Amino acid sequence: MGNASYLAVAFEGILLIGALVVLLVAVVAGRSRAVWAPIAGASFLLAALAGVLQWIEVENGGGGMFFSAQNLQVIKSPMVVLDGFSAMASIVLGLVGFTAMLGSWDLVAKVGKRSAEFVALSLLAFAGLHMMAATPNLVVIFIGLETASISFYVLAGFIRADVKSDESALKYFLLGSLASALFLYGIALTFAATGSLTIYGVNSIRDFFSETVVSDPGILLVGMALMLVGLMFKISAAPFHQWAPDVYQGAPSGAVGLMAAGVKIAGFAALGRIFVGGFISQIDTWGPIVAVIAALSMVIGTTMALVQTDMKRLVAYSGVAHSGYLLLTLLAGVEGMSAMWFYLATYPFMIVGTFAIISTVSGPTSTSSPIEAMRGLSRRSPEMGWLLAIFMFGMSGMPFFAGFVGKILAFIAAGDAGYIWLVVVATLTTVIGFAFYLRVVATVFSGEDDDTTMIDPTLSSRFAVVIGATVTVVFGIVPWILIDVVRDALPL
Amino acid sequence: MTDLLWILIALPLTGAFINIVFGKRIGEPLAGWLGFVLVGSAWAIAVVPTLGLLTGSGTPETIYLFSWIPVVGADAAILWDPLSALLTMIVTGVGALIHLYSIGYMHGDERFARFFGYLNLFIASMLILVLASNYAVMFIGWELVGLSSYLLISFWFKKPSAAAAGKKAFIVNRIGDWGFLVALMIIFASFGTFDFGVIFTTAPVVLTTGAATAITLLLFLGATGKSAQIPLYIWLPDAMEGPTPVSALIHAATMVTAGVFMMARSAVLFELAPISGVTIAVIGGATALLAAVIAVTQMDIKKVLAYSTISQLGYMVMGVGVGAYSAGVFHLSTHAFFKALLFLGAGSVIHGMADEQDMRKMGGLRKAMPVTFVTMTVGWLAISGIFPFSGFWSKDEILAATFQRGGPWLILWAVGILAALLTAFYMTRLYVLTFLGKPRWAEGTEPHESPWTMTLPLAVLAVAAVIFGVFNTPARLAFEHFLEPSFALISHAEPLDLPLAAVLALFALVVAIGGIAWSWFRYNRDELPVEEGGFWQRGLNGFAVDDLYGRVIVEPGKKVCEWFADSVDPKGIDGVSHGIAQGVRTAGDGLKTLQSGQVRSYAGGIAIGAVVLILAVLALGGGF
Amino acid sequence: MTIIQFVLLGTALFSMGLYGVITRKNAVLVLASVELMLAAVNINLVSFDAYLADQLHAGQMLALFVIALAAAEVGIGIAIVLMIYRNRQTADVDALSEMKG
Repeated sequence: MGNASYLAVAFEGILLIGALVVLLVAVVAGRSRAVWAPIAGASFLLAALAGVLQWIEVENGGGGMFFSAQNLQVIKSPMVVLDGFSAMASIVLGLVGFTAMLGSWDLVAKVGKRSAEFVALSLLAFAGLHMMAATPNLVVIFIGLETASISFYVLAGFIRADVKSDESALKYFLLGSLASALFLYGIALTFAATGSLTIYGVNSIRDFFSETVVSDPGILLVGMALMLVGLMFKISAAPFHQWAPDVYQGAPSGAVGLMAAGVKIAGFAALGRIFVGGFISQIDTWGPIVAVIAALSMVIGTTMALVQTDMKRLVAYSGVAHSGYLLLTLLAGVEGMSAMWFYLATYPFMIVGTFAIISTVSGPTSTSSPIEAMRGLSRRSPEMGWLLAIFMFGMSGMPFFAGFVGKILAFIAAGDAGYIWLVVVATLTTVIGFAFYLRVVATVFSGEDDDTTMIDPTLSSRFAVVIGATVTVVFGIVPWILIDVVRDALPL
Repeated sequence: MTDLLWILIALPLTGAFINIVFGKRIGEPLAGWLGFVLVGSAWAIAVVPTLGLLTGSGTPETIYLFSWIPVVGADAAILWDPLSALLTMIVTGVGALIHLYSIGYMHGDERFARFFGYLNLFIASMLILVLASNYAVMFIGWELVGLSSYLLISFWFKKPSAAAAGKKAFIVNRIGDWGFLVALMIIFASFGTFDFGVIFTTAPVVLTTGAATAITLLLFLGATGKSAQIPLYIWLPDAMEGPTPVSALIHAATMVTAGVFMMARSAVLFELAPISGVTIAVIGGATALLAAVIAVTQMDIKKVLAYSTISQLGYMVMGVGVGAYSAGVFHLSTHAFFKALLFLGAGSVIHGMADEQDMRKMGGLRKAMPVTFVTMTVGWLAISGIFPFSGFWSKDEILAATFQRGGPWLILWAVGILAALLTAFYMTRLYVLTFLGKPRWAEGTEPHESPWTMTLPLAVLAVAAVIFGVFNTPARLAFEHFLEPSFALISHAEPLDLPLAAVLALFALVVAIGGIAWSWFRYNRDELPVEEGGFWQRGLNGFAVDDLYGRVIVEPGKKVCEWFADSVDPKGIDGVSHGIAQGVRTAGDGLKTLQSGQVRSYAGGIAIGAVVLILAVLALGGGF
Repeated sequence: MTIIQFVLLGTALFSMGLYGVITRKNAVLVLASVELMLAAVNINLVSFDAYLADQLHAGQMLALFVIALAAAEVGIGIAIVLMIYRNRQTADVDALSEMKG
């Protein structure tokens, strides 16, 4: 075991142990919810801490590839990679998971007996998500993807008696499986063309590109295209986005933040790892296509968000648009990765916070949450009203909120890559996007004499929302703190 | 000394915070005094370094505060040069006076403290805009002044017209902002930074004429929104729904000049794009004339002043277009004083007449409101361009610069002279109808002079309106020398020969006096001339430009709009989406049918998407 | 036998699966179609592995993982379909369009 590093897999390990402990305690010691909270919270925080340790290790030059089939000298088929990229993913996923769990706690409290299940599945899902960012091996990326997806299918249908929750789960499951199959077929074809399933190491995909002159790239190109389709589905980029609003709406409000934020992070991490890490030499082939998908996502997401009446659908469509902005960062190749991580380290917190508020207002098990339900929120619960406004400003890209900096960095990345037309489209959709975000804010701050029932958020959701808002505001005002850090979050 | 300039922004910002958050507890009138004192101190603090620049003991400099987004060259830093110093003095000086005035004007309003919070916020935003040392920070200030302007226009949001006016201003300005934003993107793509210093020194090397033209035209689109030029001027007359001090501060003296300021700041870029210069000058001239014609027909005292503002802004823009940047900025400065004076005077009249704004129901106020009358007389003479008031000098300078270009530019000069004639005409009309003649008051109205907090600012502004002009006369170009460091990077035209300048000035003076005389004899009699039908009616409606926009832009999306109206809050910001997003929304409704909720159709969508994507990859990668 | 036959078989099966996902109304059949697609990929993987004579047998390894994951997926899938059936007395995917727009 000369080439083993427990630190490299610490994130997965901690969450896995956490999940097992939760399940064991549930069986052995009964079903006391009070126990899950510290276990789940500690697991996520410890995992994030492991991420910090990984980061320090990488900064000190200790990163690398692990669990290879051969000895240290010839690293062949590595299974885990420890670099700035994966360490950053650990930190972000750990903290987002922690915050999202806090936001989901109302739901955990509601589901009673099945709460252990929920917590364990969430932990497992995040372990799977991180695998997607921390491995150079396409097989392992697929396994991570499936681990997370299968967990999320269950979470989407967690309220079994609710027909909408069922529908959401089935839609997610069928379409998700279809996308997984396409992704897998892409892997198979890539394997056929390059003779390798791994991105780094000896005889890897990267070696293949540097050593071989591809004369007949047909199979390789189809494989690349199918992998792109699979991942575009996961990040809900147009035209593969249609599942997202339906699934988000039907899934219990308390669980959506966890799902939406996690998948976005890992999906982009995998895109970065595979396409920027492995297929960077083919950027002239996939670049323009990603650019078109980005433009479609921004336009369709923004357009559809304008006509929504349901808060969860609105956030889902805005998520489609945000995927578009995030895709801009891929176009700049390795230079865009720090912009991507800035975006991924801030935007998911806004999603999590927004859904925590939705869950508070419409109830954690709710499967619909009309925007009208937010009317007068600023009076019914002033703190939630103001914080929701912060999230909306953050997502819309208002200056002095993190979303603004993220967008600017993404625009620069696309501009550097020469996609000026795309920057114009992105600017235009951002400006139009203000309309629906501000509409929510206006609803929150209006309604003088309608509903006056006060809303009293629970302590956990308060925490979740405050953490999210803090990230949104702090990195909006002093973004360089984070910019300095993510500069090193590059793939090997 | 200049190290502490950040306090300028911090002071009003503090005031905004305190008044918005704790306003209710502070109450009237303390909240107002707090706002006034903070803005006043900002002015006092700015005086010393400005004097430094004036006397030559200080030099222009950039004061670094903290790093914001270093990657894009956007640091929080203050650019302290004569141009920003001048604007700072105007914003804080006029701002402080208007705060003082508002204490009296807003007396008894239930959201008294909130009003001062917004005013403070506006001052802070405006200072961010003028003191910015890069385009990114300038854009933030630009957006923030837009926001505070929107908040203040719809301050009396219970009045539907006020809420609608706020929305309109917001929407129309978004169009301009879009232009600004795209211009910034191109600037960044070309220079790799937003920093003024780098951009202006390297621009002649980096930019091609084409790129410079694109950038400057887009910047100008931004300016047409903020500075109310054709085609985006339509929001400004409606913005008069806000409280009168707001009209004076934001929609006459400061915010609307932001576009002119931005263009003056970017003078180097405009110098590189002669085509943009022509476009800008023509649009400026056309705006000056059109707005003056409309102003002649207006009956509402504030509407006259609003169109007058648009017309005067047209002059400034024309000045920038012909390359006479310091003349444009000079007119900006004099206009800030006399137009604020006129607005505050009008506010005093409206206040004294118990909220009557129709000039047909005024008349003979000379005796009832002596201070207002005297100060308004100064404002009237200044804007009409009568020697030696400030308006005479500044307007003359723009016209002289236009004349100097010769050739086809003489047409533009003639347009300017015509607009000057009309300006003298409608201002005299306003003056005579309001103060002279016999009272035509509605029954029960008892006009009274306003309290000292309102008349003192009038007096101060009147003094400024008289004397400010002499800073820059054809014989003594003190102002231009003061601004020279800000325009050091651009070439200067030789000043006109003194005799020719004198002849031109004399001609303009004769025209102005002619306009005044014509109007005087038309209106200063017992029977007012009948002004109905035809030209007058159409002018009163602003030549139906609003309707035209409505038919061309808004109508197509109206059905969707009606559907939307049911689910929309009638007074909130959500109305914003009405204008711009109409077309987008129609598209959204179309896409909605694709989102059928059917799993199989989604799967089909994924399959089709995958096939198209594969084909695209194959085509791009040469796989066929 | 050359690689071509295996690849053609895999592609045909994959396409049939995709066709099934789009056209079948019964959720169980859709599920079966997805499994067909995964099986098709497995055929491809194993044949590519043999064709490339990969020393690490990465293709075979992946095929094993896919079998395991497919089993897990079926487990969850059947559970979800059963849940739907219990709530609605139908497994017709076209009936599931409560949420749209």
